[in-house]
Amino acid sequence: MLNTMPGLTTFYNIIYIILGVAALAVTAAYFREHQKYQKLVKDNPDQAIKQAEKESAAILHRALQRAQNILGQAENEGEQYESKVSAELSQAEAAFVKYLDSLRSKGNQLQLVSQQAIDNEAHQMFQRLEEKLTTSLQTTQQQSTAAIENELKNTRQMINNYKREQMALVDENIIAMLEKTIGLVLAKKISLQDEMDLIYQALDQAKEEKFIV
Amino acid sequence: MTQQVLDQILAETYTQTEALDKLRVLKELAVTELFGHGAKESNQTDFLKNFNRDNVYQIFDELEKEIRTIKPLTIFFPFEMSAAELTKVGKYLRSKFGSSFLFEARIDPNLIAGVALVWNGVYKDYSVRQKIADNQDKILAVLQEYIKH
Repeated sequence: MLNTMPGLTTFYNIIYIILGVAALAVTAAYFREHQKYQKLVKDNPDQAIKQAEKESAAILHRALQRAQNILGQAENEGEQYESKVSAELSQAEAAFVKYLDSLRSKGNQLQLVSQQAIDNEAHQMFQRLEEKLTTSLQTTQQQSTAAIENELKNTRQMINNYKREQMALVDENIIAMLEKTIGLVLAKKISLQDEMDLIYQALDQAKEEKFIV
Repeated sequence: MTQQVLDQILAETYTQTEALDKLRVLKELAVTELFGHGAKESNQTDFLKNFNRDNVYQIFDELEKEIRTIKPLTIFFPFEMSAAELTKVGKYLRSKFGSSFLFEARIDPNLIAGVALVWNGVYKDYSVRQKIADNQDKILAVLQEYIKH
């Protein structure tokens, strides 16, 4: 604000300078007339006094007149300058107001754009979230289905394995019972010669297979 | 001379344990005859004529080493065989695998009938139990077919 009114300071400086010059001029005129008056007093004291009074009055009158002229001129110039400064201030104020308006307008636009951007971003975010949620739900559903199917498959496999193992156990028991029965029967029924024949057959087979070399 | 004595020992001996037992008895007899009270080298049997006081220990050590060198066939029988049956088996083995062939008899009642053999640390089952195991699927199939009807 101070930078916008440098002329006002200059104006007051000019006034001070003019008043100073006027004071110097009045002082110089006073000393000149005082010297004249001293000389006249020496030559003709009465006349000198009258003459001096007359001239002093004239000088004072002229000085006052000149000072008034200077003051009037200074006032005029000051008024002109003040009006000019006032006009410039008004222009600056108007420009500042306009600038503030433009700033406000830009702020409003920026707010609008930001709001739209935020809205868009929020909308996209919700869309992405929805998509991800949908995908996640689908994936979870697929995984759950796959897990259930896998579990069913494993269970079926386990049941089959259990069935197979139980059947193998039953088969083993049947064979064990058969062996025991045959053992009991053969122990009573097989003759020594038959046993010897079986031994010879085994030895022959071992030789044929080259198990014994 | 060692081989001749070994042949004499193995002539009627078919298992390694029996051969070593016989060798131990013969060694004791020879030592007694040669070093015992009233020993007379001139009054010995034909078998003991192969030995004198200088070679008796050396020959018996060599014979034991020879017997232990022979790899015996281990035969698992389903029941305890009599000495006569074991001799028959030994003779049969000699006829098939050579004159110095030895075997060792073991018992495994689970075999039912037939034998199982071990040769060079390898076990092979030729018994009725193994035959049943080999034909297990067929036997079960027959049984299942029987159950269905």
